[in-house]
Amino acid sequence: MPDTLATARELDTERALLLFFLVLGSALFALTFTFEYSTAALFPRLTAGAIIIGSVLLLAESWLPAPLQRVVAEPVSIADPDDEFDSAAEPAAATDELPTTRGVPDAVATFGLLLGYLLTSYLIGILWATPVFTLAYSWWFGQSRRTTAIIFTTAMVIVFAFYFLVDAPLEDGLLLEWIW
Amino acid sequence: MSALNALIDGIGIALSWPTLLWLVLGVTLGIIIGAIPGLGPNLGMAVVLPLTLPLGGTNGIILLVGIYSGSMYGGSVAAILLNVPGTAAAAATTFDGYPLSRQGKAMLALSASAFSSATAGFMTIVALILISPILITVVLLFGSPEYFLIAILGLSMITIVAQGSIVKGLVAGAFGLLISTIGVAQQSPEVRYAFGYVELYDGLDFVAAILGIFAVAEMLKLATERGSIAKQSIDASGTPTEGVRAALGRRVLLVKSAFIGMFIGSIPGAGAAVSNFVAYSEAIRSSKNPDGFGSGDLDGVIAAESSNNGTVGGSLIPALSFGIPGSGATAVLLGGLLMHGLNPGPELFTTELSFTYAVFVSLFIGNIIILVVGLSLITRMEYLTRVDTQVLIPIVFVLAVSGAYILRTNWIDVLTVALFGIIGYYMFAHNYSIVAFILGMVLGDIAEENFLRSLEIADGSFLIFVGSWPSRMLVALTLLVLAGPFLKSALERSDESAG
Repeated sequence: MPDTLATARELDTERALLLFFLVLGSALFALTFTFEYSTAALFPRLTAGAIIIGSVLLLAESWLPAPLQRVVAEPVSIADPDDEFDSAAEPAAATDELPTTRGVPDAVATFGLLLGYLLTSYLIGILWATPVFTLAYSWWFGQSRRTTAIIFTTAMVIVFAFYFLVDAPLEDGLLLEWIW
Repeated sequence: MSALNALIDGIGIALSWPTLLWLVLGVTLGIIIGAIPGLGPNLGMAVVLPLTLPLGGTNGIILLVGIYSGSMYGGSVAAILLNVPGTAAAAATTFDGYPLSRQGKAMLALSASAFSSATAGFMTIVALILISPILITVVLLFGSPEYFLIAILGLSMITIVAQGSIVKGLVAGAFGLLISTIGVAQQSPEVRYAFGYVELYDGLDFVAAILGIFAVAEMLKLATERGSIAKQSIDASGTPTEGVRAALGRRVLLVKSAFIGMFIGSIPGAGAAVSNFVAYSEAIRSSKNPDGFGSGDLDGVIAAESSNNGTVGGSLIPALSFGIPGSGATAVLLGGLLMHGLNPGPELFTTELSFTYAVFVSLFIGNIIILVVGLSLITRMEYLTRVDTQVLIPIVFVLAVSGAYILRTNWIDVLTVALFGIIGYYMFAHNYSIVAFILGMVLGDIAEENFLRSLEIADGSFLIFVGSWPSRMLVALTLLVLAGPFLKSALERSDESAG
């Protein structure tokens, strides 16, 4: 049962990705007809067209005639390493289950924390958002004090290096600009 | 400037200060990045890419090339000590490297790996310098139609060399090309897909997209592999010289594997991830004792490690000559070249020839650094494999976000990192070629420029793309490359049914 669920979830995300390509390709293809200059429209129209055709073929894969289905779906490679070696190419996961923390899959929580970091950076500047992000990350994943200190210190060294050496305006944030 | 003068200039640049310092730093960083499981040259080079902005073109590219070369050796450390390849390029090293480690011969395997990596690097870079005059002649034969066609050929090759559906590969490549069209058009003042946002007039920065794809997406992938890296104590007794002596005793294997790596690296899309398996298979095929492979035969380590460092020189051929990367790492390198205003192709082999030779010479010197650092730090390598990869996630995020912001101090670039991080994560998960996408995005401007210029020359006629013999050859090659795998499987099926 968990296998079936995992496969279904994988199919859903794959379909979502294909739909994203299809919608984006169609929208950008349609928009080329609003361009004033025909030379500006040609290249994006061709590439968007390729995305639309490719996405439709992949979405409709199971309804295609067998020879075309092979062309669309069959993995191909001219430099395929022997099957017996395949397993060593990727480190094996410890378990089939996706790791979770506080009931949230780690990849989702990690991406959520990244989005929070971006939003906070936009509001108060990367320089001030970075310590907040590192502490929030360490708290969420239950890191030890030592690990938290390592992450915090390394991250601060990085942003201060950018701030002083590259002279990047990392302290600029929408809220701080508004306040000052 | 003659090739010889350019080579002498190149040697001068590579040995000048602070270029040499950036090279030493790059190679050392590469060894560290390669040795930490979960990282690798793609990610390491991607996060360093924005930091090279203040260094200028030559130093920045030499730093990146150093990371690329160093990480090829570094990848073997975790492969030998933990059975976890630090990079895909060291996957075949695990087969015999880890059993050697279990037998208490980790020092032998690591030192043989360092010596094989460095020697293979030396030989293939010398070969690259020797064949460069021929490369220059070929590159200068090509005009606008041919450059557009070679971008299409490169995309096609990448989609079929990378395992997976060919249609997925082409969709990924076309997606990259389409994204590159955002902003002010090439040959007209048309603003495309900016929706009124001035920040989008210059388009999406490909360096930010690279950071999203290689830094954020890789870290999200790593977040799903929590706890997968083994922790165990390693017996690293012995001396480094025994590995060097053992590798020297296998000269034929070393040379053969190095050039297998160089040849495979020169095929667009086929990087060290492929060459190490091919060299390993060839080592088994030609061995007098094939049964010993997989249980601690040093030949397996030497074959895999010579080939992956040999790939570095080979992969620079299509990347620098035609702007077609052989792997994710060379795609990032290509991004670095363009970021520093260096266009791959004729420019690198005419006006910028000294720079090109400086890169080659730096790679040569880089191999000395691999040997020195590799052998002197051999007893400390174990510590690198013990870095908790989960600690790296927030640090890589900070590097990616800060790095993206300093590109143009444009929040669109920071958003691009997150957006392409999530898109890249799902593209990885569903076997869409990431290299094809990056290639499309990095080469989009050049491809469109050459495409439009060709049509302009031919008054809008598409026949210009079959108007010369190099063009016709490139079209035929592209068709052959796309149809090849299907013809092969059709032939196999007919053989099976006949049998």
